[in-house]
Amino acid sequence: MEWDRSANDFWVRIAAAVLALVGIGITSYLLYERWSGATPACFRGGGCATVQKSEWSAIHGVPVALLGLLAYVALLACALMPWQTAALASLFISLLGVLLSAYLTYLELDQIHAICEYCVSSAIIVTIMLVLSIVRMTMLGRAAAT
Amino acid sequence: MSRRTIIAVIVAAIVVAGVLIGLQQASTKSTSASTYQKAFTADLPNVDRMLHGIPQHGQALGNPKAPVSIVEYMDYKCPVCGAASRNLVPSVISDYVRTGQATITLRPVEVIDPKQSVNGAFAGLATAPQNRMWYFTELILRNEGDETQPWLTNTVLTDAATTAGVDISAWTPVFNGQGVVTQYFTIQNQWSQDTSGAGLGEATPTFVVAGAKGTDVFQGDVPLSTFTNAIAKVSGPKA
Repeated sequence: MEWDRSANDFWVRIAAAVLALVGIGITSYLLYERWSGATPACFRGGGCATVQKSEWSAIHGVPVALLGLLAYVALLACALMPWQTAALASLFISLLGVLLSAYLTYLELDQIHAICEYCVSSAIIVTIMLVLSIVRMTMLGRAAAT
Repeated sequence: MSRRTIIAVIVAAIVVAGVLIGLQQASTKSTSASTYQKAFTADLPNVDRMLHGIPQHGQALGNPKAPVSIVEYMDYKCPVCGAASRNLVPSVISDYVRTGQATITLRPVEVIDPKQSVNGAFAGLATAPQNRMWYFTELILRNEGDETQPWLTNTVLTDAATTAGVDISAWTPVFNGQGVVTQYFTIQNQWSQDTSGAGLGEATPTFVVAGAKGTDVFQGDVPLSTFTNAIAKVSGPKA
């Protein structure tokens, strides 16, 4: 793990690490609520519980929140590592996250008829992380060229 | 890093996303709503024949001034409740509710599935403000899937509500709101009291027949004569 402040992608990685930690917090909470059988505290109405209880909240029994948690842990690891491969892995995971979040948001609107604020927050976070991954790739590409 | 590598990573992400979406669709395919939607539409005339012209007030069906009140505690995934809905409830409604001798009130509880039965109860209670709970409930109970399978999805609930004539835009916020949750737990507590008070376990359907002379509690897809005897026992002026 290297935190070279002079590296031009330093602050991008810091921001990505912070966002990954927030994502870990959100997905851990959703996973805890799911496995404990509790109802997630929703800011408005009970949309989170409806989404969490829906058949769309798992893929062959694997909770979507667990996949999200694993993705955020991987993104955190990518942010901590300074190498180009980590930046590439970050691009892969965050793009995958954006595509799946877009699909899940479509399901919330079209199939489940409920919106889960935590899922929306996660979708926003992963979208920002995709942007950061692109910025990081660009910076690394420029650094390699000079 | 070459442009080709970056493009390969982007394509790989799209492919993996497609695979995951396909897996999710496959895992929910068994609970496809179309089968239920067709069953609800086909059964609606029968349910309508049974309920048409009888006043509905929230969870209750029948004349509010009727001397006898019947409460049915039911689970939307309980096969015995489904059997009772097909075999027993139509006769109870035609003989006692339609004639003004009794009202019958639905109280959804959970015995089968802590997720889908409870969610079904929320959905059912959310139809009550539109006085469509009896249509909604009968459509589901009479067309139940396997109790061990996750068939009572939100799509199925929405299909049942639509077929029952529920205004979905008004129903959705009530279904997702806290009101039905509070109502559900109140019902669950009342059910515990009613069954334990009668020395019974928590099973569905539980029928509570109450009149001026007292209360009778029994469970299951019982013969109509059980109702006839219970109503005779509890009705009439107080002794």
